[in-house]
This record gives sequence, structure tokens and C-alpha cells, in this order.
Amino acid sequence: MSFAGNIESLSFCSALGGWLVLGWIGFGWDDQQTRCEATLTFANGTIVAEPIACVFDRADVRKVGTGVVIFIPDQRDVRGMPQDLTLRCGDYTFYAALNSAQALEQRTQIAHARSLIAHAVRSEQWKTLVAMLQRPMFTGNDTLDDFERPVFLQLDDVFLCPPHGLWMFGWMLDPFSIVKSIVVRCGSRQALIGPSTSIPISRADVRDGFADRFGGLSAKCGFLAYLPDIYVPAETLYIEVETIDGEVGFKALTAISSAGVDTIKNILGRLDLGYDELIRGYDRVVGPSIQAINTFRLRNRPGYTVMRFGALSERPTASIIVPLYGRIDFMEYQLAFFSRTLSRDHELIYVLDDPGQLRQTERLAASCLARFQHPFVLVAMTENLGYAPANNVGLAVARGDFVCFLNSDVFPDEPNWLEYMLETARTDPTIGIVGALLVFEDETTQHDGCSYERLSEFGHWIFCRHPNKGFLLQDGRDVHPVDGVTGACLLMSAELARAVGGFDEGYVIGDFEDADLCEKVKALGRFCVVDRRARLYHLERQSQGNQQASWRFNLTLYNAWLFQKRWAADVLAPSRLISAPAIIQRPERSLQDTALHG
Amino acid sequence: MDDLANALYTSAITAIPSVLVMTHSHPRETRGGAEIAALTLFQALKGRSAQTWFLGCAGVKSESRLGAPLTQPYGRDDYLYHPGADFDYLKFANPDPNFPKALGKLVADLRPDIVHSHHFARFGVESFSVIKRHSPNTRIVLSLHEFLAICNHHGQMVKTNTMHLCDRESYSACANCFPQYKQRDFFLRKRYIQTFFEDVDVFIAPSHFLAERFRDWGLPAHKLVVLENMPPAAPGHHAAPAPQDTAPPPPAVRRGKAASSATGPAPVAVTQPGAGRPLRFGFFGQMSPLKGISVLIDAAKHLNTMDVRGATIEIFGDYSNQPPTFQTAVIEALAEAGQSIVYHGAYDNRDVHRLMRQIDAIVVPSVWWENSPVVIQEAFTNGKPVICSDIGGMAEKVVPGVNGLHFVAGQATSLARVIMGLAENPGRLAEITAIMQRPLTTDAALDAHLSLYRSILPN
Repeated sequence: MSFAGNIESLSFCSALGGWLVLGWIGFGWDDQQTRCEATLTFANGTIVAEPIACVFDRADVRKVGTGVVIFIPDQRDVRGMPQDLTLRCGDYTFYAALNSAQALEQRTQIAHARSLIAHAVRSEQWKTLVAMLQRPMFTGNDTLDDFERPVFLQLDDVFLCPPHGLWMFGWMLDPFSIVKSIVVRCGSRQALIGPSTSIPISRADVRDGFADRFGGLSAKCGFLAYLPDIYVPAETLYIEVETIDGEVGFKALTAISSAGVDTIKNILGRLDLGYDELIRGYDRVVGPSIQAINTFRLRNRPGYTVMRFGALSERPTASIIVPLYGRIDFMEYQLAFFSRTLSRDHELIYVLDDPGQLRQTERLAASCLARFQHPFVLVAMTENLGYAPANNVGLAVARGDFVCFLNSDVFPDEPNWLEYMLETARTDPTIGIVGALLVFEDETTQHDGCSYERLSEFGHWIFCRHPNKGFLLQDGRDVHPVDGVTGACLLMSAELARAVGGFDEGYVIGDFEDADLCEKVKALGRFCVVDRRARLYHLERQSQGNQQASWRFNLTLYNAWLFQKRWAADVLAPSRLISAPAIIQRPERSLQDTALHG
Repeated sequence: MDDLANALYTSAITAIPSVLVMTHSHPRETRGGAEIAALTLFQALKGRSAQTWFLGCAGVKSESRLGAPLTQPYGRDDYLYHPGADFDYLKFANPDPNFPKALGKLVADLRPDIVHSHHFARFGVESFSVIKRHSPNTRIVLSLHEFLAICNHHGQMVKTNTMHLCDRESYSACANCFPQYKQRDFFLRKRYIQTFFEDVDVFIAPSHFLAERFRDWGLPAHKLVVLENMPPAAPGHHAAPAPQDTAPPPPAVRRGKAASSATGPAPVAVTQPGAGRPLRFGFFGQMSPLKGISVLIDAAKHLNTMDVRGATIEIFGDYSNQPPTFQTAVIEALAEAGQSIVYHGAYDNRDVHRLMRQIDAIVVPSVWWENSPVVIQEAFTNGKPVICSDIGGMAEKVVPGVNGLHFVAGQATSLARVIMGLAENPGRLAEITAIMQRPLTTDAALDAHLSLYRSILPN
């Protein structure tokens, strides 16, 4: 049964999170005892919601109906103006085209609605609507100072974690414990800053600043918050604080910084999470926010240019992929040494992940070719994206049957290092990854394979350890199975590398990608080994100084967090250890002497 | 046939190999030890009608030509490389992409039997590899000057922070001297240099001291030969003493002003040691801290304090290239040194023999190891004993009582005591002067070089 009526004005009220519709409607619809349903039709679709409505007496329509105030929730970001409205309550149907309805500014519409419902019929829905309409609205000004009892709130940094996330670093002092809720609002979206979206952090500086005014303040007045789905561009962003006394105050958020690698470093540089805080902090705030930033920054496939220096092999056996960042002079050293030790059957690919040094690198490359006469490829990425993307670009360019991922700070000691690794890879089809024996410049061990260990001080997360690191290794010409192999020198078939998708780019900058790659290969039933005959120097970067306060260390924790989520259940599974290849003793000089220079 | 074979054999063993001599500067521009040794070798070879060429490096005095890394401004057998500004002195790498091709073409065209390099700075250590690549039959000889390949501190093996002597390189010790680098940088430096040193066939060390240091560093012993550098050319007959000069000795100098006029140091009266005049002890060279000039001046002060009248110290050198603070210190020290010291100022190297002949003994008070200082060769060429620090190459070249005396390195009082002893007994100096053996002549030195060349050439 359809009823008469007309909608005279409507507006979308972001402060309320929906449409406020004013008009009149025929008698009887509010007698229905069933739930109502409102449908708004737009050019690009419809929304259906349960409305909140109340009626009031209108002299001009008294003979046929009543005035009506309707609120229809709409949480979408992009709306447009509706074309028509349909109300259904049981048998009651009301339809109104909206093309003649006035679209008023929300404050005007709200003020109008307030005045109208003052005379409306009292009902539960009326109460709800009154509470909604009487709630203070954000006008663009900070109003926390108007609270009867003081509340202090400051946001030091707000970063965008695309597409809709916000990461916030701030503090709040509530000396009288009156705050009931803190909600961030943006357009029709809202999100609570609470235990599931934030972690408290120590801000002794803030506490000390207020100590002379208020006693008993906690140093844990800071917070890190991540709201994954709050931000809408061009919509007003603000914080709404409600107290137990029913007061509502606002704080504008205007300074939002865009996110990139520097944001990640900034976020991580502020962290100092201990045992109990680590898991919560990374699960709730740090992990998701950095994942969002990293996913966004890698959304487009990286651009790159390929430059070839010298006459390369037509069908290389192995492609050695070396990412370059910072110390481009390492390329000069490697090329000088490789010119004596590396067969021209192999392809050497340098991936410059440092666009700011492109010109110097090009000049250095030309100089190196002139001096050392060893051919190589230089791939220049258009953006700095980190270890995994750079290596994956190298993998895309590589033409060899095998790929050897090599750090730029790794230099050959044993001239036949690559030939030994290839021999091992070819000999046993169960071997998926071959690593090398890496030593420091003082001949002590840097890497002889990785093993996993849970560290209690870091959330019992699994970390990769290098057994015997720093010690002098006994001479052992053997190939032995390991849990994992460092990406500093890692050989595998190119086909297998591509089948597992190369390095996972979810890890940021560099760490754990190699462990992840090893696990992907092991998940296919293959093993990782180290061939100690392949001996190289790895001039690993020095320790990070005050480790636990540095962004670099916290980045390692982020990558560790990601690794746990994916592999923790598998890594230490006993089944993994069954059927691993035994230690293989290789006789010395088993490798055929081959000319190293084609 | 036997006569013919013998003749051919004799001809072969006496044939002079063709030699390309390389050094990192050019004698037309600078007169350091390496370039003087290289020039002497080149000229001596030419004097034997050997096919020989010279390759030096241009400094600021020579104009480069666009697109021409090598030019020949000084003659047909004389080449000049115009290096760029980006030479990597840490590892002696030459980034100039045009040089390998130019050098390669040169050696491919010349096909020298021997390339004798007197320095790898500015050319780069990779040049040895380039030579072998383009002329595989050429043998490469490298004369080692200082400890450049070992020590980043100008090759002197002296700590940068304390100026103490350094006995042995290590990555950590080197990183301590140069905090801007890490240990791994010194690991890479050593590896880089040694990689290209593999292409050198023979390393010549002018002293056993130097040879031992390089052996410890990692050069294979079978490639190391101890052979003195070519002696500096001496004009005329160097055994006869200079004619007597009746001009009185110049007055002691105050405030660092040279006694000599703009035309050069004034001639000094010369008589035999012990002939009733004060003994004259001469210093020749750069007045730098490592050359021990402070030790020398302090020794002079000590002589004054002891009122020693039988000896004077005469300084022929220049301090104007030194840091301002050191210059000030030298000027003040000279002013306080008293009558025992005479400062003559800078001298032209071509006058060194004339000046040395007017001196009774040469003092070499260096506080670093030294290798085979040219000044010692020059002193011996002129028949003058040397009083030197008891360390390094100096102590090897100067044998106490045979061709000189030692004093404790760095100790001015020790030097003063040696001088006082000789002042009290000038006959001792005369004895040493009389029994001193003259160094190898240029011809003899060249024969030794040629013998070495022939030993590494294929039969």
C-alpha cells in the first residue's frame, strides 16, 4: 500500500554519518509494527538501511499526513545526490522523487531538524534522533580546552598508510580520568583509538612537563595507533573526545604526512618495545601500518633500464645478481677480482637500487670495463625499492640457467667458488639452494649456513643465527645441509627461483627475505646446503651500535614479525629434518680444471 | 758453425733489451727520488744506444690535448700521460676510462721487452694488467719507493696520530690511523693492489729493509730483488775536492732568514776535517717533520748549551711547503738555536754535489724508516760520510765506522753526542772519509739492471 508524501529537503551529514531528510508523509506508516527499510537510489547504485524517524504535527498537511524527520545511515565515502527515496514498513510503501528536494548544508539541516523534532511524537526513535541531533558538531576548532576538567591531547605525527590507513604518534594526559572515548572521524568513517588499534608507550618527557601541575601522572601517556580504514581524501579529519560527564570536544587533524620508506624509518625509529609490548605492538600497530605503506609503495612494477658493458655470453650458465646501494665502489672491487676468477660463461648483473648515484655508477662502469675488460650488465632502477625488488628485477633480466644472488660486499677467495656451487646444485636434484662459506676479512667465519632459534627477549620469535660466526673454521671440504642460507651468496636454478616468485617483497629494505626464500623452496620438498669449498669474503656491515633503539633494528623486528606469521609453524617441524642430504665429503680438486677466461 | 753459434749466443746475452721506463711524474716538472731514478735509468740506457722510451705523467705545467691521453711534448721517445683529477689514492686505482686503451696501444706498438715502472701512482696498479693484456711477452719490473702499497700514510709506515713508527700493517691498525675508513676498506685495498701486482714479474727493492717489509706484506720472495736505484748523475769528476774558497763562513742566521742571497747559498770555505776549523755537518732536503729537522735543530741547541765550538750544522733546504704551524716552529727554533746552526735556505738540486763537497759529513736525521734516500746516494757519490738515524733503510745503507755513524732515531741529544765526539776527535771522521768505498758508477748500476732484465726475459 503506497502512501502520499513529499521530501522537501535533504542533506548528507557527515557529523551524523548519514542522510537527514525532512518532509511530510501520509498517516499510518508509523503504526506498522515491523522494522522499516529505507532505500536511497543513486545514479551508481542504491543503499538500503534501517532509518531512524519521527513524526510531528504540521498544520499545512494535517488533513493528509504529518511532518517527518528521517535519518538514513550511509557510511560510504563517495555518494553523490540520491535520485529517490523509498520507505517500506510492512505493507506501507512511501516513494518520493528527490529531484525537487533542497540540498541544504548539514549544519542548517541539523538546526532545522532540531527545531522540528522539539514538537515531535515521543518515541524511542525520537530519543535517538534527539541525542544525535543535539550532539556537538565539529566546526573546525579545537575545543578540548572547554572541558570542565582538563584533558590534554597532542598528535606529534600522523602518517598516511595508503589507501585509507592512518598511523598516529601522540600522547594524552587525563589527570582526572574523565575520558570515555577517543574517536577519529573522517567523512562518514570513524574509528576508535583503543586497545585493539593502539599501544601505549612511555612519554616521560610529557609527564615531566606536567608534573608540577598534576601529581600521579603515568609516563605511559603516549600512544602509537594504527587505524586501517579511516582516511578519506578531501574529507575533514578530526578527533572527537567524549568524557564520562557527557562532554564532547574536538581536535582538528590537519598535518598528515605522506608515507614512504622514510615514513617507515620514522615509525620504526620511535619504537622501543620490550617483551610484553612487542607482540601486541607489532600485531596491532606496527606490522599492519608498515605492511600498508610497503604494499602501497610497491604497487607499481618498478621501472628500470638495462645497460650492457662488454661482450656477454650468448647463453650464460649462471647469472650472478648483485644489488648495489650506497657503496657503488664495491662493484669496482668485485669486477677487478672477478676479472681474474670468474668465467665469461657466466653473466654478471649489477642492479643499481640507488637512483641518486646513477651517473657516477655509469661512469664507474665504463671505467671498470676499460680497465678490467670483464663484461657485465648494469640495471638501473628508477626508484630505490630495497633488496627484494632489486633482486627480483635482476631475476627478470637474468638469462642463465642458474642464478646466484650475491651481495656487493662479497668478494671471492677461492677462484672456483661458483663452479663448486654449480657442481653441487647439479649433482643432487633434491638440493634446491646452495650457499657458500663466507668469512670476514680476518678469516673468521661469517656464514656457514643458518639455523633457527627462538629468542625470548623478542617475543619468542624465530631468528636466523649463524653458528660458529666469529670462529676459525676447521678445514672441512664438505657439503652440509642447513636450515637456511644467507642471500649474501645463494645459488639456485633460475626456473625454481621464478617458480617460487623470487624474493617476497613484503619484507622491507632487507632482512629475512633469504630465510623466506629458503622456506618456500623447502615447502616444495627441496633442501638447502652449504658447499664449504666455495669460500668467499663477506665484509658484513658492522653491528648497529645501540641496536635496540635504532630504526634498523626495529626493521629487523618487523621483518621477523612477518616471517613468524608465515612460517613459524613450519620452520621447526620435525618432518623438515627427515631425508635431508647427509654431509657430503668432496675430494679436493674434484672440479675439472677449466680455463676461467673464455 | 760453433763460432757463429757462439757469436749469436754472446750477442744474445749482451743484447740490450728494449725498455719502457715509467714514472708518475716527469723530471721536467718535479725532481723527486722516483723520477730522478727513472730519468737516470732512461738516460743511461740511451747512452748504451738501447731502444728505450720514457713515459711520465703531466702535472700542472703541461697542457693536455682534448681526446689525447698521451702526448709527446718532450721528444720522440718521451711520452706524457695527462691524468684526470679523480685518481683513487687509497687503492691506487685510475678511473680514467681512456688510459687503458691509450697505454694498451702504446705497448702494443712499442712491444718493449721490459717495462720498468718506478711508480704506479697516477697510472694506477691496473696498468700492469693492461700492459700484459696488450703485450703478453713484455716483462714488468716495478721499483718500490717507500711503502706505498702497504701504508696509506704516504707510504711511510708512521702512525698518523702519534707519528710513532709502525712495524706492520693490519686492518685494525690502519683503520685506527684513518678513522674515515673501516677495516674492510683496508682489506679491499690490499686485495686490490695485490691482484694487479700479480702481473709484475720482478719487484726491485733498493734495500733489504724494504724487501723484508714487502715480503711480510705478502709479495712472493722469489719475485723480490734487492738492487740499489741508479745513482744520481754527478757532473764531472766527483773524487777531487772542491777548490779552496777564501770567503769567510756566513754568520749564524736568526729568525729563519737564509744566509744566502737570491742567487743561491754562498760558498763555504773547505778544508780537510780536523784542519783546525769547525767540522761542518750538512742537512740537504725538505725541512719536514718526518725528515727530522726538529731533531737536527734541537741537537744544535744542545751543542750551544755545551758550548761546543768544533762543529756547525748547516741546513740546505726549504720549509715553505710545510704547514704554517710547522713553519713558525722552525723559524722560532732556528732563532733559538744559536751559533751552531747556519741556515742557507733552498738550493737547486743541480748544485747538490758542489755543496756537499764543501761539507764534512751529511746528516740524515729522518724520524721515519726511509728506504734508500737519494741524499745518502748523493753523499756517497761525493765521498762524504753520513750520520743518520739508526732505523730502516738508512741504518742499512750506512755502516758505522765504514761509511758513517748512527744515532738513536728521534733523539737530539744522541745526535749531539755523535757530533761532539767527532768535534773532539776530527781524525775519526777523516779516517771514515778515507776508507769509504765509492758507490756503484752509473755504468755498473746499469749493468746490474740489464743483468736483471735478461734474467727474466725468455731465452
